[in-house]
Amino acid sequence: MRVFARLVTRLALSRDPAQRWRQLSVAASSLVAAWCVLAAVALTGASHDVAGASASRFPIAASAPDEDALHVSTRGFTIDGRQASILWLEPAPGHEHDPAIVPPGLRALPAPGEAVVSPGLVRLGVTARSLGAAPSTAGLGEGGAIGPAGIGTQDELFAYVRPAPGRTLGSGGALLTFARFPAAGEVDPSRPNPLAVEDAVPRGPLMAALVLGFLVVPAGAALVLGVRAQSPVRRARSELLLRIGVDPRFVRLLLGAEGAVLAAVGAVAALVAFQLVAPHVAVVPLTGTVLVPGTLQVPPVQAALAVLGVVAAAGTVSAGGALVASTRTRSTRPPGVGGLAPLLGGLVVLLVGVPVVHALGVEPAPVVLGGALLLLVGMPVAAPALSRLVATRVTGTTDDSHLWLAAARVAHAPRRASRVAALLVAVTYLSAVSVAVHVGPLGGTQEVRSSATSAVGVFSADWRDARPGDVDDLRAAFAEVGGTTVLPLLTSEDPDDPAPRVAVTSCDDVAAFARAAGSPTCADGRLDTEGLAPLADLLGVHLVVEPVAADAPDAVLFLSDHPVDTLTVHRAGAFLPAFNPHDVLSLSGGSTVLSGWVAAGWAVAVVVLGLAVLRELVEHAIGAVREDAVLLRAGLDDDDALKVTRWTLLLPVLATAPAAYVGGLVVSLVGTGPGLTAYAPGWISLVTVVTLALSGAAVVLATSRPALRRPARRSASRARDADDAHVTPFAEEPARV
Amino acid sequence: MTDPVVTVTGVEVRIGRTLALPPVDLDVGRGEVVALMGPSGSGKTTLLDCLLGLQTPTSGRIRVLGEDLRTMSRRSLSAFRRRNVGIVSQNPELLAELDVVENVAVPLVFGGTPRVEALAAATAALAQVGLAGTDRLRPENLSGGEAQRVALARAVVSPDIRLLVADEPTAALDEENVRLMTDLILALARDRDVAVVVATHDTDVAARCDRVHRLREHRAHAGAR
Repeated sequence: MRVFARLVTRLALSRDPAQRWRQLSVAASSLVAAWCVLAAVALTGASHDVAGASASRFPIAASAPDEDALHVSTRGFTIDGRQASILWLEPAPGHEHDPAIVPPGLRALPAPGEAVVSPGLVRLGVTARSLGAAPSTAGLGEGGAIGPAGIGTQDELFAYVRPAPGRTLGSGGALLTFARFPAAGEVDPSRPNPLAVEDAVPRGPLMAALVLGFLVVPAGAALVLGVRAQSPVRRARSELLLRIGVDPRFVRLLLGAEGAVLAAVGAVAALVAFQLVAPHVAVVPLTGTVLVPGTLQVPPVQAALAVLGVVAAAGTVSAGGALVASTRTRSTRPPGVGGLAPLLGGLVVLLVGVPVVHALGVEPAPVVLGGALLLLVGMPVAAPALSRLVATRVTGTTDDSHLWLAAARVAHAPRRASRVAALLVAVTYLSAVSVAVHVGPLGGTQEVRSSATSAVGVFSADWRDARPGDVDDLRAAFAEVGGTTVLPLLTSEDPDDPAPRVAVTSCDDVAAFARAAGSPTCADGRLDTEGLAPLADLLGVHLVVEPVAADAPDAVLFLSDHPVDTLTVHRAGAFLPAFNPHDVLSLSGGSTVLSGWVAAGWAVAVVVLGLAVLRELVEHAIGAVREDAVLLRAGLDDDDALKVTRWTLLLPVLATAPAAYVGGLVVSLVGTGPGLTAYAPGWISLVTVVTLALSGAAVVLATSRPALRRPARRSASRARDADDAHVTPFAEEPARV
Repeated sequence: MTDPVVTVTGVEVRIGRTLALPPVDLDVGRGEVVALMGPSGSGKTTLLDCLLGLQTPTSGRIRVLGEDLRTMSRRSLSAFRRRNVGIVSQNPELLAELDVVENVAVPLVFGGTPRVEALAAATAALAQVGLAGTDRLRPENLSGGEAQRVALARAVVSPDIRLLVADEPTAALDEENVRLMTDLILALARDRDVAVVVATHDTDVAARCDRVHRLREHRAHAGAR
């Protein structure tokens, strides 16, 4: 055992310069991989914590009238492109001071007419007064906001509001009745939660897909290729041991342990750094999400397991491959169609599985995410087989001598030749999928039009427990805004024509608005019913010119001859219980939260895969010195060798790019069903072309560096001295001797 | 000697503070086979690299076929080498990704000869080295001696070859293959009037050459001459 340990450490930590590149590659790849895995664990944990916080503020429903302790009405508005929730609370009679109905993060229910807002709203400048309520002292958070126990992230946008004194939420309709908030052991994140606020952190399968797709798989690819870094020292040691009769299993164990030792250096460094940094990180970069401090901390046991996983994976990869470099036979079998299995599997899941589960009435989103992930794994795995397939065709058809030889090399050693392509195809595919999500419904877009940005303002609003005089009170409240008209909105009782009706009885009702909107609704002081039609179409209501009797309307149409934002309307009408304004002119108010997470994940994946590409190119440049010497002796000149090298790298990139393109298209198409993506062939084409262009530029740049290529001339003979083989070093395991 | 193919005058190579090749003078005529001998580290391979233009001498002058290699651009040097010079080294260094005939055809293909013609010429070259019928074999299926003969066929496949530079071409071969390889090199020089410079430790090989040029032993480090 002591001998084994000594052999392992001396090999792994050898001071021989020939081992340096491998030491650096394995340690750095493991550091990146471990960091990504720890981040994945942390984010999954954060997602779970956020879900738990959300569930903890979801009360337990009253199952019997005598359990009825808390009434809740949920309302919302759009701010900064995101959906904010307002939870109107009201204790049932006799439960005014019942501690069981106090939401987490509060010390008591807000008093009537008071509100407590979340830190996320505070960050956007929204206070209780912005909502037309008085500030409450019930909040346990900073500045009277909702305390940490009641929030999942510091970005969640919601507020608890009590109806004004003398008003109630009434009964019936969409009013929710609850018994109490759950105790610690009763929190169940899987319960459907009608009080859930918009997620600042993706949940469940979505978060799993994000961390797997953008962190774990790219880091895994980088780790596998990094651990395969070449080392003459390691090669010589294993061959020496085999030559003197050491059991091949022992040698394999030794090589695995060598990789594990080097990986441990990087992984432990990542662990230490992560555990030092994570407690202090609250902002998830690029997402804009601000978590509760400490959310990203990974428990020691989980962290240790993550690091051990990375080290074990590195050791396993390090132990793999051929032990003896035979130059007389192929060291490895060429990749067959089996390498295409994950890729084809992913396509089958997406193209067949998704429609099937959809037809069965099962939610297809997890299947889409699973298929997309399978494709992501399948792309790099399929790269050698695809490259060989294309290269074999090219060899037999091209007249270009450089492309001919390059294609022959790719066909001969597709695994080695397609390493860069395997990484780039993942980048292209991830970019295609990301753009499809970004332009899709979950990606969200900022409001392109709203009453705050238009020439006029139009809102509909409703409230609970309507009373006679409410509309007059609203008119009085809106008078302060100026230039406004408040018209009762009457619900249609005709099932064939559900559009609500608005009574317009005089030019005064619409004059200011119509003037601003450029709609001639009045002529000589009389209403022009034909002129009202465009206005009615815009508003989606029936405009009727005769008075409509209504004792206590519970909805109004609010017209303004100038821009008005939602909060202004909300503030003016907040004296009404569960006042619920809706911006009629808003074209979109979609969330940008997921878009931010996808963008962040994409950026991280591109950086990780980009570093791996860089490592591959450097390793290729190191090997190219020797390979070029061989090509020179075979009758090529420097320029020929350069062109062959470039084609050898580029051909697999070109061979695999269609897979990324088609994969991206399929995901973007299939993802439209569950609303995950938009079908965006134009964007995906653009992304593919740009990625290909950048890849080509990177390859040309990497193979053009004189500093890396100049030694070839001098080392032509030196390379020969190190080789006792009669074939070139361009094989699956480079530069074996 | 009329019209020497190779003229080496006072060529010396220093790499940093290391003396890689002490000053050397050498002429090789058409059809002449010169054995280059000397102990390991005496600079045999360095001198061959100089003849190929792969190494620039620190001082001295090299003319090959009347051309001063030091005055040639990198591109023209490459073209000159491909057109006029064949190379055989201790290891055949065949390209594993190509079959045998394709390996031999490489210099012609990259010299602009259509591939069909290049392959035909390669087949003929293989026949000349006694390997007819091996066209479609992969290099890994050849013995060491066969592979070295393929390398020789590749080195001389171009009809314009005037100089063959061989660096210990028989070092890794058994006695029978050493004899066979030497026969082929000598026949090449005789039949095609090609000048041959062959670095070797093998006194039997050297004895069959027209002339032996011995590089003197030197201490490689700073100041040693």
